[in-house]
Amino acid sequence: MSATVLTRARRRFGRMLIPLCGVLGFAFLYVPIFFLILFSFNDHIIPSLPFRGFTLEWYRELSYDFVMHDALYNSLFIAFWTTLISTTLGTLAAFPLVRRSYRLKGASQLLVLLPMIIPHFLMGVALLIFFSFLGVPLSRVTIILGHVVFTMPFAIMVVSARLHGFDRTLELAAADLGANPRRTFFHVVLPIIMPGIAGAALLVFALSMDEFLITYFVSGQKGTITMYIWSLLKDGIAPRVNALASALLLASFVLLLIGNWLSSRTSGVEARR
Amino acid sequence: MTAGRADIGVHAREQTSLWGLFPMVVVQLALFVVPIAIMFVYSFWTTQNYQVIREWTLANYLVFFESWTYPSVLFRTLWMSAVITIATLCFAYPFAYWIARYTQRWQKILLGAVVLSFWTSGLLRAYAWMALLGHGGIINKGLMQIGVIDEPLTFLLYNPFPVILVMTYFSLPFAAITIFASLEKMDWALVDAAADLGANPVRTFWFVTLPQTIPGVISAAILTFVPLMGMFFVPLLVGNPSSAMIAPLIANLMQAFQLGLGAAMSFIVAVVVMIIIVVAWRYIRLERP
Repeated sequence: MSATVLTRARRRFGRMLIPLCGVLGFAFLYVPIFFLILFSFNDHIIPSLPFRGFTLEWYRELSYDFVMHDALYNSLFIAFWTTLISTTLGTLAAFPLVRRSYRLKGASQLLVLLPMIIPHFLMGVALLIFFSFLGVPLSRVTIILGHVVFTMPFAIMVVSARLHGFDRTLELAAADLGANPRRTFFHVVLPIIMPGIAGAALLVFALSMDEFLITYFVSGQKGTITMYIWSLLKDGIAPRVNALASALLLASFVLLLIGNWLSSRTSGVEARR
Repeated sequence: MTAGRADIGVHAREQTSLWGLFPMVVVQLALFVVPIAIMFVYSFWTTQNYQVIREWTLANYLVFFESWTYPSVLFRTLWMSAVITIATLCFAYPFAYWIARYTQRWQKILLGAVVLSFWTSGLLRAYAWMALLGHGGIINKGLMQIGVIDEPLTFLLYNPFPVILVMTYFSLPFAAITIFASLEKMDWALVDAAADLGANPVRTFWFVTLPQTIPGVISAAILTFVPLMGMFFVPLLVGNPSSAMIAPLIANLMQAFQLGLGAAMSFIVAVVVMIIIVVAWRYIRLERP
């Protein structure tokens, strides 16, 4: 009898252990972010306990920080072009990667996978040496090139996921009804994979805004927002950084919501199925 | 223009042109493969007075291997990456398991919440930890206020512990998603069957659940370990300044215009990375975050 009680106790412990890991996991992920936001409103020069009262002072200070504005503008500029290039070229590449089999397919898949998992500093070092070898001065263009290399694989991955679930009989039907390939592409294929493309664009944008190490090597004089944050962090903690972090967090949250909304909207063709 | 049905089928299948690959391949060759090849070439050249001397020599590799200084940094990086990978997997597995037991609707919400956390700048999340762990940080101030400790805890910052903690924090979402994908594909009927046949939860996990998800665990391990070898700002911000990692060391060499030595060391790291990827190639599955 005591054995069954023991087993039951053990089982209850086991059943408790898994949810405990779940709760701890989310606490682990979100507690730092929670305090980050909380202390951006703290009326004290050090963002730590005790909480001395609510203030918007640090946000106001941020709005006067023109170096930060400049860096933010650079980052948006770079992220915009990176998104445009990576998403377009990634979408073009996703079609043959998903739909065709050909010689050297393994090699081209490796070309997609490697830049995704290789440590960024290796790419940064290689690109820095490459640009210095060619005599190309470091600028926003070199940062964009560096960002395209590592974000394009992510764009390919997201668009491919959408293409995998694509019902190709729809294309046959369009052709059957007399649409030429061009018409079929723009009126049937593109609307269906659009949520995938939008998702890819959003992911690329976020990755580019957040990139640190490649930028660190190839940025030269033009600082991005991550370079600016890096310069702040070397001086230790300050409530202004909390405010900046909270503002950026809100921006990426809004971006993600838009992305979710876009991908939850199904195209007309799909809705009728 | 009355094409037969079969012809249309062939037509539709053939219209996916391989030309779509062309721009991607050109960009990745020009900005990934060629730069790494040039880096390799540079590793056999040296620099003097901010000038690259284009004479072939093994001097850079000899500098790396002649004393214990540089290899020790590489081994420390490998060792720390391994410890962090294991910590991440031990945490990510039960976490993913917990999510996998929910209905699909809830799984979507929970995974969304996991993904959301790494949509924030990595630098700023490292900063959030600095504000928590520091000498006058939230943990120390909080514990002192409620009287648990009198002196600030010193092990919280500038030693290997916070590096392991923060890097585990960074690696958790990706590892959890990868393991979740393999748990989702697993045949749960086998787990129920094992329980019905009298196996206790531990036996069921060890002999039924874990073997089915091993490919996912290996994939998660590789996808955690490889990027960790390039950890840069976290050891600099919260680690011990005297125990350097390989990426900051190489960055310093590059800044001092030691391009040859930097290239040689980068190449050594790249070889280690490639060996790991080649050995584990068939397990690597990238799950969409």
